[in-house]
Amino acid sequence: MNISIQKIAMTNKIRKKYKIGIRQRFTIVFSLFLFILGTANTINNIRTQEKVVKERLISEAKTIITILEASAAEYLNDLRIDQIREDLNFILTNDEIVYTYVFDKNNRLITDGTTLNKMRHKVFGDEISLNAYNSNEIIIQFTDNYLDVSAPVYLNIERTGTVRIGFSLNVLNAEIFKIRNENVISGMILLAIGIMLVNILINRITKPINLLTEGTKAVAEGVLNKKIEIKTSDELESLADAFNQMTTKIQETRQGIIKAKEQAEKSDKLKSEFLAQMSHEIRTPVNTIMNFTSLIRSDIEDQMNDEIKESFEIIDNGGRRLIRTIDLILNMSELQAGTYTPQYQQINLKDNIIAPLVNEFKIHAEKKDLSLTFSNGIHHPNITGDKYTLLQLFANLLDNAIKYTHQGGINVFLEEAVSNKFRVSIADTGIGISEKYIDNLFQPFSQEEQGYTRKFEGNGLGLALVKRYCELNNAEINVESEKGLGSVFSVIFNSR
Amino acid sequence: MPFFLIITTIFLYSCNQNIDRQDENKNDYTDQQTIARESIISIGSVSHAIQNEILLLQPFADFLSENLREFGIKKGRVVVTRNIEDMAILINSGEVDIYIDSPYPIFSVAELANLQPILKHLRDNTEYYKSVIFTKADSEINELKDLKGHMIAMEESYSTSGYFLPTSLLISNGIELAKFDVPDAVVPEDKVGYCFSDDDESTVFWVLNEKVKIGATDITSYYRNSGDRVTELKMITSSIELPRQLVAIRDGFDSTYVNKIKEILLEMDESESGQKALESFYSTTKFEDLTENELSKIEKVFDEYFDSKNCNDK
Repeated sequence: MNISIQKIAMTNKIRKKYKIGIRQRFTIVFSLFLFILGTANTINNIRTQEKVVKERLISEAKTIITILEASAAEYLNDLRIDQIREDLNFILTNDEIVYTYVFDKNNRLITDGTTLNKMRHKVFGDEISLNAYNSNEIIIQFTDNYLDVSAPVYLNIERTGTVRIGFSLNVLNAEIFKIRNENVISGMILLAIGIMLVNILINRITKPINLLTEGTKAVAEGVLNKKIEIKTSDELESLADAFNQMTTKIQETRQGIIKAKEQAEKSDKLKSEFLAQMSHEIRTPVNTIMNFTSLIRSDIEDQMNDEIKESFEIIDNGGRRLIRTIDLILNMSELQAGTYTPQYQQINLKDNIIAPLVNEFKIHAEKKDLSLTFSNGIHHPNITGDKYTLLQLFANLLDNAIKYTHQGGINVFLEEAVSNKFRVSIADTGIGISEKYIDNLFQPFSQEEQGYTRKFEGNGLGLALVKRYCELNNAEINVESEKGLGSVFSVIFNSR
Repeated sequence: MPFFLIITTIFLYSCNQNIDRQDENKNDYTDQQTIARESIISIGSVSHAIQNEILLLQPFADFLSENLREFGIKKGRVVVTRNIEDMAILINSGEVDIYIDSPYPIFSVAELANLQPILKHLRDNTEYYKSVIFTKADSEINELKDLKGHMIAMEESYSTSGYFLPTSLLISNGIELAKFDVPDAVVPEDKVGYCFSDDDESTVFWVLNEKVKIGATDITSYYRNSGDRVTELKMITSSIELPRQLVAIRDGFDSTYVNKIKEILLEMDESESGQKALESFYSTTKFEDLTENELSKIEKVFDEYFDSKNCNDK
């Protein structure tokens, strides 16, 4: 479960890291693409249409100037000014034409189509006029406001003058303005439609992805019965189907694991019950044997020689050893089955645990001519813990220290480790532990020497229980040892 | 795939935008309403530029009709003919009520139709005008007697300044005239030849470009059409002065109606709408009364001319 939560957190972290999602990224990229494409297309359309409109005006201008030239040729030669004026007046009825000029062969203005022509007989010296005068073909020139078209007038092969027409660009400009407006508006509408369609398209892609993401998230949260419905008839639908198959498989596997776990728990409980029952069955007759042996011993205390006393001693030790082994097995069984309920309380390590135990084990130490000392460096070594397991924890450690020490002694220290932490160290001058065994030290039923040749009695449960008791009391245990020199077991508690 | 379909659709749509922008303006045709002849006042004019003449005169005709509502006039109409004979026919048939032109065509039509001049029309802000006979400044022709054997370019046969005034001047000076169709015809030594340029502006150009040696036109046209090149010309002589234009009304109208028309025209320059109508009508500033004395003087000039012409024709 912890791993799942971590994964979800990681996923969220990744999601937060990428602020721009696929949807936004696609929308931006495609919108930009459409914008560039639309703009280029609009510009191209505008240019094409402007070109067409300009070419149409030029074509119209060419047609009119050609007609005028043909019409004016004879009139110009005959100096029939009224006829030329009439032609020009007719041309001037075209709203796009703002001026018409007819020049003689000396480039003098003959008429502009009006009788009040004040420019009559003037020679036009501007560049356009000179270009028109010097050219032998139709000349088309755009100025800021006009399209100036001019053509030479020939009668047979003699040039008799020049005709010139000015087309206003107002109509053209208005039309170009209209073209631009229409194109820009239609471009914008098409862009909007394009973006909308792209959005729909992206939705078709991202929606299934979102569904898959939600499905994955649900699976990560342990919801395995969630099915993803994607009907896109493409790879995404296949992916969703595969995902659904995967969750079904996981669900099946999970149920199998749960069933197996339940079975294992049931077996463990049966084992614990069996052990408890067996322990009871063994302990009761052993207690009976020991009680009656004690009665017999007290009855014949005065008549016993040393040999008989030793025999009683052996019986007593054997009985006690058997009961202790059963107690350890029962304790380990309770811890493994989870049936032990610790009762946490405020405990003074020195007064409630270490000092009484040191006193108790001093007798055993003295029996082996070993010293057992206790040094306390803390005024109020209070912790929160379970008294029974704490007593068991240090009793086991002291028992081991005495058991594996043949000369020298055992020193117990209670001191401050780091801030708010207490350390209880039990240092002995015993046989020590080989480095390679230290890793297995706290495994149940393990001893450095195995088999019938081992020198020390025991069942290998003591240190395994010590480790469990440390865990129950939120303590940490460390071992430092050197073969032949001794060992130091340190238990570190959090204060209070 | 759908994305490319969308792009292709957008692209094709925008490419296929029709750029054929045909002019959608449609000509408006107004149905001619059938209106009784008595409800229409018709203004007549002689010109070759018929459409242009109608455009120039229509505001004037409309103004007149609007002011003659009390006489049952509902519409003003412009009638343009290409010659005075047709105009005379239309006046006699009652199709034209008022005829406005320079004195010679007016009196020529009056010879053929029942027409009475009633007002002076100050066209181009000119009350009276005269004709000049001119030639190139470097010409050897200096006086009337030098004209013999040469060709004079005149405007047209019904022009007052471009025909009537110069020919009446020459006739009154005992010069015999000969009409020719082309300017380069050979003129007898004892006569003065004349041909028509059909346009005062052309007359000036003909002389300046030596198509003919001599030209005759009104004084305004002489200066206006020669422009900067006036120094290249010289005047040989000039005619008597006549009113620039006259307004004539056909006979048969009630005097109250005629007086009302005279009153409207004489007061036309005093109203804004009248000024607007006058402005488009050859830049007319106003109409002025034609006194009995003026009329009798003009009539005398024309009587003499027609008499001498009739004598020559006989």
